[in-house]
Amino acid sequence: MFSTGFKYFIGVTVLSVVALIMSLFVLDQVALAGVAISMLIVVTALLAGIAVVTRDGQTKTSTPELSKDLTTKSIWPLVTSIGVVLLALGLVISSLVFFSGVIVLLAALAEWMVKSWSERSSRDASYNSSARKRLLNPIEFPVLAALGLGVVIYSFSRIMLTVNKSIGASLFIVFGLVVLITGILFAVKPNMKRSLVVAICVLGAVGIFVAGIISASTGLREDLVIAKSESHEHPECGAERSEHFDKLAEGNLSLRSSVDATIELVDGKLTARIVGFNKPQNSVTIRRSTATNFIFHNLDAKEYRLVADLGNRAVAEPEGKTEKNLVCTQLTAQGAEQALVLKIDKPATVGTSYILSVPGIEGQSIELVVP
Amino acid sequence: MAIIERETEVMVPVTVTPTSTYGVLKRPVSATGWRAWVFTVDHKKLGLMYGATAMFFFIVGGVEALLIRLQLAAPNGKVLNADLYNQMFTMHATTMVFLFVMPMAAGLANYFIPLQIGARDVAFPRINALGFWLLLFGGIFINLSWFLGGAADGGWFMYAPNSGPVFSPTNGIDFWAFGLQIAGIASLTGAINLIVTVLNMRAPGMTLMKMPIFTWMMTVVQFLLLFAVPVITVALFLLSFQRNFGARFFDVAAGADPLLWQHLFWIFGHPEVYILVLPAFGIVSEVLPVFSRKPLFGYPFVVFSGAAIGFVGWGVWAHHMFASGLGPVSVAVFSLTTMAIAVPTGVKIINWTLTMWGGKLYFSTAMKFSIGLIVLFTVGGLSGVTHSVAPSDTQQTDTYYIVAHFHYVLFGGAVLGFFSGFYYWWPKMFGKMLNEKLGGWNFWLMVIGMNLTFGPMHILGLQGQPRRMYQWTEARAGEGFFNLAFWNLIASIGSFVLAVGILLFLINVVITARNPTKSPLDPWNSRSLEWMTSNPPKEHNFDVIPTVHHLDEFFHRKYEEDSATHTMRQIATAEEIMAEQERNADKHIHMPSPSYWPIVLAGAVPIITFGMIFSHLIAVIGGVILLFAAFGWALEPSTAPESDFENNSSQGTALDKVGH
Amino acid sequence: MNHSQRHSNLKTRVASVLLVTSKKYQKIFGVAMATMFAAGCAQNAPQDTWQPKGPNAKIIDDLQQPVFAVAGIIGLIVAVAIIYVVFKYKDRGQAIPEQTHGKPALEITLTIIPALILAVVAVFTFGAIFKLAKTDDTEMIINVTGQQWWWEYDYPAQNEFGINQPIISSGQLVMPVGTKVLLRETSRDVIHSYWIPALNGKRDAVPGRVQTLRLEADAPGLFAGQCTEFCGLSHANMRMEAIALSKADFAKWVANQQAAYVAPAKDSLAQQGEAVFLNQCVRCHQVNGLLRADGTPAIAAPDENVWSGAAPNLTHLMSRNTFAGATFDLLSKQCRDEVWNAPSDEIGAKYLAGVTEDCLNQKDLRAWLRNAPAMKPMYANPTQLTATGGKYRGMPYLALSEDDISKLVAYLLTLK
Repeated sequence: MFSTGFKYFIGVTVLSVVALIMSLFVLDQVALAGVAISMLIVVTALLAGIAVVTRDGQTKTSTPELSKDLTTKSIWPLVTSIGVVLLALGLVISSLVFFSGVIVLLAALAEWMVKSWSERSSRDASYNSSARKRLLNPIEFPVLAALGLGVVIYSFSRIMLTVNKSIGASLFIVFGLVVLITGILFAVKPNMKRSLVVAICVLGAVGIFVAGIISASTGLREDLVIAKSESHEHPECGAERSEHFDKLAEGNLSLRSSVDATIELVDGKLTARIVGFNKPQNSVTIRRSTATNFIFHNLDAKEYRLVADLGNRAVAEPEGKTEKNLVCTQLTAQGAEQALVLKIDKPATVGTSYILSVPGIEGQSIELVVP
Repeated sequence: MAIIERETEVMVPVTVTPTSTYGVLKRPVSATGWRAWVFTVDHKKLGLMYGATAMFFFIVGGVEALLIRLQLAAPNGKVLNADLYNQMFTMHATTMVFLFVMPMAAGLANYFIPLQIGARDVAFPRINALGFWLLLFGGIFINLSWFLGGAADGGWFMYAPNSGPVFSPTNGIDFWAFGLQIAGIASLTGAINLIVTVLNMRAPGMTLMKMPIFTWMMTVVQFLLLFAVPVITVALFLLSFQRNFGARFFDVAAGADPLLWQHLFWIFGHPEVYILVLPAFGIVSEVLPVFSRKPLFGYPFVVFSGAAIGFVGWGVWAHHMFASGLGPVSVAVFSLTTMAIAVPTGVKIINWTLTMWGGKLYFSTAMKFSIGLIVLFTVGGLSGVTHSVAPSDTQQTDTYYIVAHFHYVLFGGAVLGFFSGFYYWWPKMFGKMLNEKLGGWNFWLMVIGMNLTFGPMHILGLQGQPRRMYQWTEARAGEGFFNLAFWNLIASIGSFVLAVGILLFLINVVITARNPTKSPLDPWNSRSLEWMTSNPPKEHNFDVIPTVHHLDEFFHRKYEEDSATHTMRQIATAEEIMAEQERNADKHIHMPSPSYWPIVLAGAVPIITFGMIFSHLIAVIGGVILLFAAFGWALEPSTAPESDFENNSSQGTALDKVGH
Repeated sequence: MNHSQRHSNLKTRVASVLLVTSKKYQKIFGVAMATMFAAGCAQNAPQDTWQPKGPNAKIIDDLQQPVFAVAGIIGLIVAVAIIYVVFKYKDRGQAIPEQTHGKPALEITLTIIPALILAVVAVFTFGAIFKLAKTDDTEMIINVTGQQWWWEYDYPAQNEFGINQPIISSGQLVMPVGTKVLLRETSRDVIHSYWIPALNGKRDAVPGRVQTLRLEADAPGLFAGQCTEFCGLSHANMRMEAIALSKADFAKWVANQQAAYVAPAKDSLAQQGEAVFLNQCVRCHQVNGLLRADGTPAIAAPDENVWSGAAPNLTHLMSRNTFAGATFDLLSKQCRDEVWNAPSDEIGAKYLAGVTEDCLNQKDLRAWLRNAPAMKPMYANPTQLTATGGKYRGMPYLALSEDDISKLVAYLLTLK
């Protein structure tokens, strides 16, 4: 009734339960340990159950010559040793290596166990291998597929970060087409040799992987390297072009339904167009404590930006000091548009007022009224 | 999993056959006791359990409705406070839509689609069981929130940003979102299952255009579900991420547009309306021909108008948003499509009326409910047309006029349809007929109650009473005796009349269960295949799979046309047809074995979602159970081996449980 | 009135249609039917959608009345057909009829007829949709901002109406008659919906968007409305009132709204009230022109205390008839009825009189100051505020003494 395997697993289960109970009393932080031990309990209980149901793989007709010729070649001793090496290396190098060693070891252990169990489950080798497959393939396939896909995707992302932007786009299209065409090919030729299909897929994956390694060693493309070094914290709201802030200025907008006012610059004149007002205005009333969207539409010949002057604000360092509170769009080319979003929490007080203006054009401004 | 046994080669190990399967547990075989229900994969048992669950939630939702009407019976109602009232109307709608109408339709579909198409079970019996358990657990999960800090309070439409963590700080909406996800899995698996069943498992000779109309309408519903449920799934994921993981999909301060939720919700929500009402259309289209002794008038028109509703239903969602500020062009387009969808709906009304025209009408309770549906649904349909006129809708939307409209559509449509189905199919499901006399009382009380409740709401709405207000004031009720206060009171009284009507149905069920009288084999002189077997059907449905030659196959086996008068002459009784079948019964019928795993797997899902709300540790445990159940499921043999059955010959007449 | 006669006429027709559809149950429904016929008698419901008082609502009404009538007629036809069938083809022992499966020609005809009817309706619907969406003929703009659970109105400077400085108000929308007013709606928190049934259909106020709604009143009057998009706990208490004033009266109202702050008389109860106000209320509520003891202007900072970031501006509180999101009346019942029941040409004068001490609804105002969350459900309980970082949604309980409340009431009465 109780096979050796069952006794072993049930023993581990019981001990783990005891450990769990003890940990509840002993440890303050039980979450991590609790999960780990609970997992252990579940897994060993599961294995104990399997052991008792399968009676450790024993069959009705017990055959002494069972183990004769049924063991097959195994990769797991090799993998196990790799795992051990990784484990040892990890202790020296980094925890990442250590944990991959742990994972490799656990995987190898599980695979090894199931394999040796399956090889003793009957006298028929093909049946034994099907038994192994039936138990492990549901885990192996998803895990390997996820790993494989992960490698391919990661490699692909390295390629895309290395090549030039426009080449990247073409590359994307080409890759897509290749995948599509290959897929169609497979679909219309269902009798194609299995090995050929495998070869094509492996070739593609390996190709991407190699290209990924090459790209990763080449490094990011230039503009990304530059962008990484730039600071985006402070918009620079002057009349002149700002090196970082005005980079990649967008010229058109998709937001329309939520615009409070369109600020237009025509022939050096700044006016506000507001839905409902038939004539252009020179002041805009906005609601306090509400995000208010403006569009700056530059119809003048030069590049300009719209700046909102929202008075002064306190600076964190040094204490007690204030600085000008400016919010602005990027430089906007002729005919282009930019959005400016303002949220003003308090009404403008006597003596201070909020103003929209365009640096480089004097004497033109739009008053922002906050009642 | 093959259900109809065919001789196939089976891979058998060459030398030794292991006695144990890979499955951790053997497949259960019990056909009696509670195990027969909990581990069943039989579509009929699952159908009944769907029905019982739906009925339970119907009562829950009904009590919620009564509380709402109590609160609104008089000005400044004090029965519920604002918070509780908001939870109540949210949960009333959620319960009725997701936990009553949808499961009831799913239950009827489960029970009758295989019978109507001459199949022995659905295509994926274990997935079918999983669907039911998920629905039940999802429903319980949503309602658990009542006891854990308060139910969802954002309305069933759950508009963002009011559904966000700031505006609804209790866990109610979390329970709601996760519970609906769980029920959504049930709908999705059910939809795929029934579509595959209908497309692949029809009896020989049953072309699509010879398929019973109920099966047709349910198939359209399953396609609607298949495409609509993923949309709400996406929306609910966004909502859950916003609430539980700090995402900002609907956070205006982060640049979001709250109308995104409305679009997502209504792209699901409008097809959902047809998901709710098409099953009832199918039932009525079955019942009317039976009691008119005439085939459905314009069967292809009814089929295609059902399919047309299924298609156009996807293009009308923004009519729920005429006041949202979509811009005049969008409003005009959706106004037009909404008018367009009225046409196929109108076609159905016309066909039903013409089905009765020239018939030989017998007014059983089922027939009464069906005729009631035609009339009351027409009222709801016409008030629906007034909403398609967008400017007019901006006056009516979010008032009681809308409440009146959709209750005429859903109560007058879906619920009356279901009750028609109950009375019609009860003898088929339980082998006993519901009391017809009590049925008459049930019908009249429900119809009167429903008109008293929802009729005055037209007036309330047109005179300006908005929905979703936990109190109304005398100051805005107008003057005169028939002011809004009067109509509110009438509606509340009506709701209790309605409740008494439904109570009579429950009493009828109890009386029928206690009554030992069995129903005749074919009590209504019916027309379709589900009546060509015993009451209730055997586990394997049909002793012999019938070959179909006509749209109303059963009827045409009983009757033949007199070539002179063109009237119908009886040539066989149902008993004779049944006896003929039993004589020719199939020798080898192979039915799927019960399984432990659907209920275990379904049970793990609410544990995971519970953990998502309260502690991720619980979610991990739920995940382990789920994984475990998935393995058990995958490794389970497709049938229990011979040795597991205690007694081979105990089942049925010629039923060989083991196969091979 | 001629117009309202036609209106009630139509209403009877439609009501009868709603009923006739259920005529099958006529015997039992006799009583119910008679009462429903009487539906036309429900009088002066303040939010009746069938009593347009301005051109925009009129466009809608002119469209919907024929549609209701057509729908009613169709319903009648269906009902009659079914009654006929039920009585004519009842089982009287006739033989089972021929198993006919339909007549396609008849089917197609009966499909095309409703489609044609709807096509005609669609043409008129389109016309109305685009008419109601126009914004280029606006004469006056009012910004409307929804917040849980009240509406804020602000009037941008518009010199042609004498509005030189923006006016900010809440609770009641004041507008001149015969003027095409365009509301520019938005919201500070959740979606609300602005609806004055007598003047136009509803339009949602969506945070992050600015949406427009046309309003125009034919004659001076008071029009009731209600937030119609579910907006949380106190949705039912989020009301609005629109007051249309003659152009002359509106000019007076504008002048009063722009009048400078008048400090309460020295050593009066009101002056002590001002101190209480400065101590408590000014954290959220702005009163323009109010100075602190040190002479600096008192600037409210609702954004630091209220989640949605604003609280009603109380500068001319007593020029309004309501408070707390139009949930409660500032006027006592009697005084309020006088304003609401006044003939159209007297409403202006009565409304502009504002709230005097005799007319003040002391009971509700004092109860509100004593414990606001008990009066109107709000998220103002500190234990409920973890999600908002301690900020209120609505007015909190302030623990004011009865003495302080009396002082405050006296002070608020000076905010004419």
